[in-house]
Amino acid sequence: MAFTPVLSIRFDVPGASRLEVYEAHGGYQAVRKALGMEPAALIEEVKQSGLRGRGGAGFPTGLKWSFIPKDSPKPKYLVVNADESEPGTFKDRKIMERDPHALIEGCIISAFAIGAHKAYIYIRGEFNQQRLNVDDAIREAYARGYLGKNILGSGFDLDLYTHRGAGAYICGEETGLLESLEGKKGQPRLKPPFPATHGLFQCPTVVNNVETIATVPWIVQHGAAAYAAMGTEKAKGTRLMCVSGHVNKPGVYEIEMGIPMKQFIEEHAGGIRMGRKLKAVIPGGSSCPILTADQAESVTMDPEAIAALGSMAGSGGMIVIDDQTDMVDLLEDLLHFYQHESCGQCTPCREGTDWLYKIIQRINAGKGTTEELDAVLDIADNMEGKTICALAAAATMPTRSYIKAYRHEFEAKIKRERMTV
Amino acid sequence: MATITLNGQQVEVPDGLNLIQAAETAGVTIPHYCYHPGLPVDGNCRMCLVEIEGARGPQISCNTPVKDGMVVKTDTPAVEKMRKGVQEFLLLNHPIDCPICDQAGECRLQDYYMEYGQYQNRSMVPKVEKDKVVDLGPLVVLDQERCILCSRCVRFCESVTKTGELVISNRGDRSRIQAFPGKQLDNAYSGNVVDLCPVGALTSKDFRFKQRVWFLETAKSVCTGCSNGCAITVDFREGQPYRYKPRHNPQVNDYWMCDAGRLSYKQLNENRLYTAILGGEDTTIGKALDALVARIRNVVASHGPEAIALVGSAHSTLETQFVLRRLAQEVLKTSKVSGATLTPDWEGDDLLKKADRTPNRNGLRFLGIDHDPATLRSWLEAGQVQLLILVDNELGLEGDDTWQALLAQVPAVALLTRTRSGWAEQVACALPIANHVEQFGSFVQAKGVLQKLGKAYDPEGDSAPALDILQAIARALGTDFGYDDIEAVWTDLLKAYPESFPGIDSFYGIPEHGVALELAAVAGK
Repeated sequence: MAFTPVLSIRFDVPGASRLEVYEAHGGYQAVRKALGMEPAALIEEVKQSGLRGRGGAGFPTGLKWSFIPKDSPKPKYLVVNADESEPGTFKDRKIMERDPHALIEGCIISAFAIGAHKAYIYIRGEFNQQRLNVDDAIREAYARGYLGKNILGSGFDLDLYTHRGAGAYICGEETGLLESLEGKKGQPRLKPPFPATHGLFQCPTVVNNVETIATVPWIVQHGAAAYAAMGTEKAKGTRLMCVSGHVNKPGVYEIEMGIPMKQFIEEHAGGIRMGRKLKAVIPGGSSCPILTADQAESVTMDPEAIAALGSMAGSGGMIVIDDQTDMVDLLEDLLHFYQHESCGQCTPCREGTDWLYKIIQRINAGKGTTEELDAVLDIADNMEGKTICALAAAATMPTRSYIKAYRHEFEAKIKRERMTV
Repeated sequence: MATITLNGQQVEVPDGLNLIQAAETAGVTIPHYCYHPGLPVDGNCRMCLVEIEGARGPQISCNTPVKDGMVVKTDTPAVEKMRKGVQEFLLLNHPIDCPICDQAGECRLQDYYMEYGQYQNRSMVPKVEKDKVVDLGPLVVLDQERCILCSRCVRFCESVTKTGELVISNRGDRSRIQAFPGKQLDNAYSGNVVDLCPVGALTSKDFRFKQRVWFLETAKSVCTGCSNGCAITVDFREGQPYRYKPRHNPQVNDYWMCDAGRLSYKQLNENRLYTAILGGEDTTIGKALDALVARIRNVVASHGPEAIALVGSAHSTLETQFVLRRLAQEVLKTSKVSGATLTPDWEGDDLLKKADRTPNRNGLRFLGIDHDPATLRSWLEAGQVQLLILVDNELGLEGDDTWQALLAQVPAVALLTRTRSGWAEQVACALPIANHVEQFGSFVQAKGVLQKLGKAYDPEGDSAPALDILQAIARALGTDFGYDDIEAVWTDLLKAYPESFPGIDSFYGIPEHGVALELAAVAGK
C-alpha cells in the first residue's frame, strides 16, 4: 500500500491543537468506535497492526497491553512517556504542540483497552509550553465529555493528568519515570517485577511513548490491516523521524518504515548543508552506535536493517554529521551529556560515565595516551550490561562505535597531529 | 529445599533465599556492598553479579531468589572481571586514605581489594572532591569522599527507624549522602548506620581514633541497657572495653541496637569499686569477708536466721540469682530472699527499647525469687531485719526517701556492688563485684529469650563475680557449692528447675541466638 501519513496529518493545519479543528479533521471518531468494542478486541487490533513502541526499544504495543493481568483487584494505570530526552529526538514535542488531541484520543482508547481509569502524561521538565498546550486540550476534552465520567455515554470513566518532570534524562526510563511520578527521586527500579504487574503505585501499568499512543486512534479508525500494509515485514506502518545536524532542512518528517536512509537525508532533510559530504549518521538518538557514510547510504530505515549494522533505530532521532566534524569533539560532547545525566545509582554507570568523559576530554585536549584509549574500551565493557537500566549502555555503545570507526582521529589527537578533517 | 548447580557442584539450599544467602550456605561467598539481610534489596553496588544459565546477561545475586534447577556460576573469568571492574570504579574517586581511616581493618573496600582487586591504577584523571568531616548527628560523622553510595544508611533510616533523615542528593558522580536540610541524624538508633557502612564513610564520634580495630579482641555478650537484652559483641583491649556492636539475633534485636545501649559500655567502668570497704576504710576481700561472716553468725545467734535478708537484683545473671537463692535457703536458712530492683524505667519504643532497664527480671521470675518491692518493704517496716545483704542492687542509690529511712533503721547493711559510692562507704561492708562482661552467665530478656554472656576479660582489681563471693560466704559457713565453673552451676540449676529450661542441657549448649522460654509459665511471678 502506498504511504499514507498517520501522525502528521494535522501538523500543518492551522489551529489543529484546538478541539473543534481536530474534530473537523476527523478527530474523536476512533474513540466512538473503540468504546463500542470489547477491550480484548481492541488489544487484538493493535497486535494485528504490528505497532511497536516508538520510545526507542520498539516493543510490540499490543503484546505489552496483553501483559496487564485481567484478574488483578488493583487499579490499572496508563502512563504516557512524554519525557522525550534522548538528544536528537523531538517528535513527541511536535505532537504535543500541534496535535495534542490525537494523544488524548489515543489515551482514552488505550486506557479503555487495558481497563485503566486514570492516565498520566509525564512531560519532561523543559517542555513547559507543550505541557500548557496539552493541559488546554485536556480541558477542552473534559468540557466536551471525552474525559471524565461516563465518556460519550459508554459508562467508561477516565481521568487524565499531566505531570511535569524536573529535568532528568533518566526519567525517560520507564521505571525511573514511575518513581518520579510517585514523587520520589527519579531512579530506575530493579526488574523484575515489571510495570505490567508492579508499576505506578505498585499497580498494573502500561507505559507507552507519546507517538505510540497517538498512533492508536488511526489504527482503530482505519483498521489494523491498513496500518500493517505499510512498512516492512517486521516494522509496520509509519514513524516520525527527527532529523538534525548538518542538513538543509532539519525537522520532523513522517516516513514509511523501510525507505532508504540516503533518500530520506537527500529528499526529506534536503541534503547535507553547504554542499558538504556526509561523514556519519547517528540513526536514532544519541545513544545509538554511529553509522559511517557508507553504511548510512546503503541502509534502509528499517529497525532490523539498522540493527544488522550494529546500531539501532531507537527513538527516531537522526543526527546527520558532515565531513567537517571532529569525532573526538562529538564524543566528548556526548559523554558530557551522559556523565551529567547518570542517576548515580549503580556503581559502573555513576563512576564510569564520568571517567569516560574525563578520558575523552584529555584525549581531545591532546593530553591522552594510547593506554587510556584502550582503557576506554575496557571500561565500557565493565559498564555495559552491568547496571539496572540501559543508561550505561547508552554511553558505552556510541563510545565503542566512534572509536571503532574513527580510531585514527583519536590516535591523531593523542599524537597531537593536526586534524585533517 | 532447592537443588542448584553452583560452580558445577550440585548443592541443596533452603527455599526462599536469595543467591547470596544460598551460596553462603553452600560455602561460596558472593561479595557484596549494598545488600544487607536486614534491609530492603537495592541492587546498586553491582558487586554480586554472577552468571545464571539462561538469563539475559549477568544478574545480581541479591535480587535473585533461588529456584530449583538453577545453574549459577560465580567463579568464571567474566564474573572475576566484573568484580574487578566494580572494585576499580569504587576506588576511582575514593581517597584511599586507609592509614588515617578508622574503618581500616574492618573495611569491605580493603578486604575485597585484596581478594578481587585489580592491583594497578590506570586512572589519570583527578578525583571528584566532596565534603569531609560532615557532622551528621550526635553520634555519626560522614566523609563523603570515602562513601560508595550503597545507600544502606539511607535505607536503614527509611525502613527500620522510619525517620528518613538521610538522602542521596544530586546525581551521577556528584551523588552524596547528606541529612535533609535542617535535619540531623539524631534518631535513637543512629549508631547502627556506622555498623552498616561497609566502608569508612560513616564513623562513630565515640569510637573513632580510639583504637585500631586489629588490636581489639571481641566477646559475645548482651546489652544491659534495658530488658530487651540486645545481643552484642563487646570489643576490648587489655581489660578496657571500647565499643558495643549489635550481634544478629532474630529472636531479640535482629541486627540492631539503640544508641543508649551502644554507649552503655561506658558505664562498665564508671565509678567502679575495685577494693573491699569495711567501715568506710578500704581493705582486702578476705578481711571484709571475715567481718561479714562474723556478722552473719552473730545475727543468727542473737536473732535467728530470719533476721537476715538476702536481696539480689534483676541486674544479676541467672546463675548469680540461683546461687543467691541457694545461699539463702540452704546455708543462711532465711526465707527472706528478694530480687526487688528499683532501677527507674525510661521511655521505651516500638522497635527495641523497653521501659524496664533491668536485663534479667525474667530470671528472677523463672527462679521463683520474689521481686516485689512491697515484700521487701514489709520486712524492713516490721523491723525484723538485722542484717541486709544486697547483691548488685543499688537500693540505697535508687530508692526514694522512704526507702532511705527504712534502710537507715537496719543495723547492718552489706553490699556486693560494682559501684564506689558514698553509700558503699557508709554501710557495714562493701565487696567489689565484676560487671557482666567480666564473667560468664545468662540473662532472660523481656520476651523470655535466655541468652548467654561470654566473658571478655578478667575482673579488674579485687573485684570478682558476685557468684564467687556468694560461694565464699557459703564456704565460710560450712557449705561448699563446688561451682568451679559456670557449667557446674548449670548442672545444679537444671536439677533444681527441671521444667523451666526445656531444650537446654548445659551452659555451653545454649545456642548462639539463645532459647525462647515459655513466659506464660511464670506469669504473675
